[in-house]
Amino acid sequence: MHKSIPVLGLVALISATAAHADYPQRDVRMIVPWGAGGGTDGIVRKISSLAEDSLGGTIYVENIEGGMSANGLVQALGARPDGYTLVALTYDSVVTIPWQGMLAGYDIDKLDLVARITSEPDSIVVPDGSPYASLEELVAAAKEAPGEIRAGIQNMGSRTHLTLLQLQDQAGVTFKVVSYPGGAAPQKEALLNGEVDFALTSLGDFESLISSGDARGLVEFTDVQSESFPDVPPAKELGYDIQMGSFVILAAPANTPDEAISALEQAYQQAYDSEEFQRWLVDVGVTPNWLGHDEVTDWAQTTQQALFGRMDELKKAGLLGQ
Amino acid sequence: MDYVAELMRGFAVLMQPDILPYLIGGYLIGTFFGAVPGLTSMLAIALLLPLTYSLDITAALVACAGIFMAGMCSGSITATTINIPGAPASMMTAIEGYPMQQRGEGAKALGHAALASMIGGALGAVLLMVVAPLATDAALLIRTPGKFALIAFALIVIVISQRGAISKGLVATTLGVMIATVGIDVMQPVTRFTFGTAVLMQGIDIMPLVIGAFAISELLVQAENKSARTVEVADVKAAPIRRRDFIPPWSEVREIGLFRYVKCAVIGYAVGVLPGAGGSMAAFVAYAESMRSSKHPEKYGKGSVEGIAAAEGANNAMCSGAFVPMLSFGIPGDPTTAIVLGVLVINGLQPGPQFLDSQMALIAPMFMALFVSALILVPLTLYLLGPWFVRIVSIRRDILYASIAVIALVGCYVATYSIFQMGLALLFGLLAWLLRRHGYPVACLLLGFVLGPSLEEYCRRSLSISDGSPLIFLTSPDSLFFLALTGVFYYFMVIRKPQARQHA
Amino acid sequence: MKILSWLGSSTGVAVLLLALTLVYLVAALGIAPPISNGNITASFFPVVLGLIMLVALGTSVLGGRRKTAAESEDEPSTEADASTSFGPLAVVVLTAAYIALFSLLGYFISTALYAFAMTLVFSAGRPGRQQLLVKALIAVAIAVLGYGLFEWVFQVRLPVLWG
Repeated sequence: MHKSIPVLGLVALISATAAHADYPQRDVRMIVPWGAGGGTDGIVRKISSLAEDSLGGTIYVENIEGGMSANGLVQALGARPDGYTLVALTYDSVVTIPWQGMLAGYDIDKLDLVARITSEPDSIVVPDGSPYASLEELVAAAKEAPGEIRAGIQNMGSRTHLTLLQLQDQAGVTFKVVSYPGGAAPQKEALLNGEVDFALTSLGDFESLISSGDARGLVEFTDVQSESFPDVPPAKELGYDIQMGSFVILAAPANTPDEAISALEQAYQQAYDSEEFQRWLVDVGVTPNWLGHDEVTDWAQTTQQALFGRMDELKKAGLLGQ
Repeated sequence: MDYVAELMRGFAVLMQPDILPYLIGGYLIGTFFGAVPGLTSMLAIALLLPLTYSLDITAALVACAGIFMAGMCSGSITATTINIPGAPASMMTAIEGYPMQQRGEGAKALGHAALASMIGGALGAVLLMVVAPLATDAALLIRTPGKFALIAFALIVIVISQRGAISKGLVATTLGVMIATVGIDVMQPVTRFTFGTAVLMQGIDIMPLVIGAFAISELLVQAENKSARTVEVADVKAAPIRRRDFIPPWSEVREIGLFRYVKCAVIGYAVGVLPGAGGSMAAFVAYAESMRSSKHPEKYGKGSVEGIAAAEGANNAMCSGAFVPMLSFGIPGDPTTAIVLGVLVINGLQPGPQFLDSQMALIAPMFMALFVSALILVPLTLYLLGPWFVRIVSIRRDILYASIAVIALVGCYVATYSIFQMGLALLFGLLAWLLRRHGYPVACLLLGFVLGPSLEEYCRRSLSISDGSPLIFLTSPDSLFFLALTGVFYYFMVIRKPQARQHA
Repeated sequence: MKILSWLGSSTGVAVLLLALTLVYLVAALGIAPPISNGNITASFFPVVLGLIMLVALGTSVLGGRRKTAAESEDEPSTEADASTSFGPLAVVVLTAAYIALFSLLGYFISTALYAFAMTLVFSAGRPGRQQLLVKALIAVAIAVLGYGLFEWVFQVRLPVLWG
């Protein structure tokens, strides 16, 4: 066991000069810290099955659920950094867990980020019969009746909650926060049965309801106009400086040999660029947004720091619990 | 008419030689995974997920339907023969089936289970095809306070149905709910009861609890009495099982009554339609209702065929019900349909309100697969393989229990990839064994564990909607309905019970 | 052994559950106050559960007392059983060892050993040499079948010795 680490380092050194020498020799394990059949799982499985071709090896997915992705992270951190273990990170792995200090000794610098595949801005979705035709109308109504309009978010203290808090802060209104843990499915149910007045998550999550005319998007928390939903304005256009959303990043344990990282990055980039993947993303309503190995670490750290700052402010103001 | 034609076309597709093998293969895998303790049909579908890339989507969906339906009824096999329910949804069947097995009526118990599964599963599939849109609208009438009251109803009823041991039932149920609170809070990122350890933060998976409570505790019971089993094996060998022993006697079927079968199927379907309940709750609610309305409630717990029929009919009807919200809104009704949703998504399909209209050609074969597997494959499997099922008990004890121990523990590992969760399985096994020795009902423990997190989530959400006022449970009609129902059950099972005893 | 058999008695179980409940209650109160700003918190539900548990344990112990007093049950005989049988203890110890060695020795070796030990626990009497051989073969067969099911059919990676 102890010998293998310097040996691996040596192998990495040699093979770094002879590009793509022998990687991969074994099957690559991809840890998905969320349940089988969920959104993240679907994206990762789809792109991994396509990346197998260009990598020239097998990538198998293990769903290690629980603890808001902490459970899967523990496994990834404990794995040998040899390029044969990957993990899919989501918002919670990058922001919530380190901020709350839920996993002792963990931060994203314990991982080598390979690439970001998708990023999905949050949005406000109302049912079709809603009286609010735009974000302005919703904000105006909330000013008239503070704390009356019900907002459906996911977990308390989660990304969607933070988005809502920022909106409240910038618009000077308060909503009644109703929490629906467990992804977008219970939010959909609540929107349809009238338990909430609007839901806060990505437009992609509500794609089927929006295209069937049962729901409408009011705003997307980003600074560029969405191409898939041309009717939904970006928040910047409406005068709000809020950029929030979910994303999927692929990562390996820190100190994984560069050769393996670049081989993986290349394989995933090819899979990402393939027509099949792009078409699939459109079908399921997810936004592709590639960021390669060189840029993704900076992006993740900047995003993390910015959000930590916001969360600290909100906590100081007593708006964010714990 | 278009709709019927589409269903017929779906049936034709299902019967094609390149699709039918997937149904049969799926059904056999589901039977195996459902029957073996430690493996569940949900795990089977999750493990087969990678295969769905290479498969045609229709074939994949048909295979899922077969696995799902088979997994719900094959749990009764091990529940009856060796008192270890292969799946949580069969725990009520173990309570009624194992006493029958000990009386030498194991084959008949399996026959009743299969008949009820057949009727319940087929009726559920018909309901799925005919009233799915109606059921979706009805499900939307039940909001969070109503769901809270429904879960509370199930938990209260399981406690009061423990006749003679109500306080022990309450202890076991509460313990189950308490165990489920370990880990990250249901609403916010706060850890509870982890005592500063990272391993407890992951929470406690259902697999170690099921394996511990049923498989390992039974191993401990069996390790205790060495001689008892060998005598029984001799009995089984002395009277060879014939196929006709599996056919339930007509008089008993009449006594159970068509109405009860239909009622349990409807209950199971309805529980399935409500997101977040699942098979064990369907089986239990139908069982309790059957007990409430029974002419012979005193037979329950001692080998009542009515109880078997109610539980097995309902859990198979649940399969079809769980597809309703998944297909019409993309809201899965139970964990297995959540994975089937993943199969659809991987194939680039997003279920939504228009999904049934636009993709009926794709979905119809799966509907028919649910129907066919219930109506034909359930009885056929029992007819062909039944004698082998019963012969499980005549396998040498050392082979039988060593295999169960290995598969249960490795199954736990495969479901969670965690050594810690395997350890928990042992711990819960020990706990469940102690509880069983002193008459604490383990079924209560499991139902408390399964439903506890939902109970807390719905309770806290309701109170956040009402700004902390518990009056919301009385002012919401849906919640009031289930509270009243709880009162009705309390009346029949606790208050009126002494009179029933005088009659008996 | 005396402690073990006491733990196995009905009082022992009640005391065990009581101890668990008290630890649980203390930990629950440590999370947060049950109600803050008029909203219930993460500790509200656990505190209620702990209280229900105390009441339920109390009534069940009292009910049990009354019953034993009325019928003077044959409880002692079952307790005597527990202390004489080493089967359950063997199962617990072996299973704990198996779990501890599972990732260390890898699936194959640990499973074969565990299955072998379990066949010994679940056999009547002392096995002869030939029987031991049969049991060893059975144990290897169980390990191979499990391996075949998970590794080959479902492509799940199980721990290996030099993984």
